[in-house]
Amino acid sequence: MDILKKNFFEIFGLPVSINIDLVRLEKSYTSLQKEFHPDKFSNSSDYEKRLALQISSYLNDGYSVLKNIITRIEYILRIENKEADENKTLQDSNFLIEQLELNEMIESLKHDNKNNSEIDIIRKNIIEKMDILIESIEQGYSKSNYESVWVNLSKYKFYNNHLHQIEGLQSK
Amino acid sequence: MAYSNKVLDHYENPRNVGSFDKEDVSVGTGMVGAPACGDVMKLQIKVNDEGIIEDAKFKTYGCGSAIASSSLLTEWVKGKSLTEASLIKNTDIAEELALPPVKIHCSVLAEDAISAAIDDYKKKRK
Repeated sequence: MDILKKNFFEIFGLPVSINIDLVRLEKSYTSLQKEFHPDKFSNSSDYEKRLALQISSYLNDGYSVLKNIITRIEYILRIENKEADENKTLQDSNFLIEQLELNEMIESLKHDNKNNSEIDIIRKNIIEKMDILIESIEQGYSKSNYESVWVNLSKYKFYNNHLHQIEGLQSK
Repeated sequence: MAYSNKVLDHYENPRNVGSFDKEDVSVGTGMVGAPACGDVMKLQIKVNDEGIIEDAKFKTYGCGSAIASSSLLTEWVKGKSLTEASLIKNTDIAEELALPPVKIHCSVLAEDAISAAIDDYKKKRK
């Protein structure tokens, strides 16, 4: 069936873009998932059943890939055939030094019971940097500068890891 | 995941942890990061007038395999010329440490770190 040949953006009727309408994604996904739900095919042939199952799992994949901004950008790079080697390393010294400092800071926050407002300042600071990186990624993408998209996405991932660690501290 | 004995050995007793002054002209610094896992590796070499790596130090934030890869690499590069050191491949490291496929990127990080350190040293010498 044609749906399995479409890319994830096409399936959900969304333009290929770094920022997408998440409400529309959600709606599209829910209605398609209803349409192809395996229960609806209980009286169909084995072939149709199998196909419905395939489509259903393809829809799940597409939804989870597009929902998350990191996997969405990686998917765009894949569609454009500009995927980087997964082992490619980032070599921006100043940025990496900052990351090591952040690691140490988070490590020390784990040990002494710092108040939540201090953690919150660090958290907000990281989110701000992540927002700026997304803007840079969009700019890079609009100029077809895929190397810059990769670099900024890589940096985004570093901050995202830290953000998770910090949020882990806050929820304790 | 089970680490090999060699990884555990380097992880528990890492060789050559530390830093050199990165402004020193005889020191080359390589700093690399792996976006997939967030590991960061700093590898430094101290090169004598004959172009031989006299000493090496590292500081790695990351998993056991990343620490072991950089620890092993600092041992290997000591006494080597820059050309010899640049010929070390990530596959050599992965093989020596018996890294599983999901940890190959740690050895790539180490290979990129030494080549960045050599580049940095050469740039300073120009």
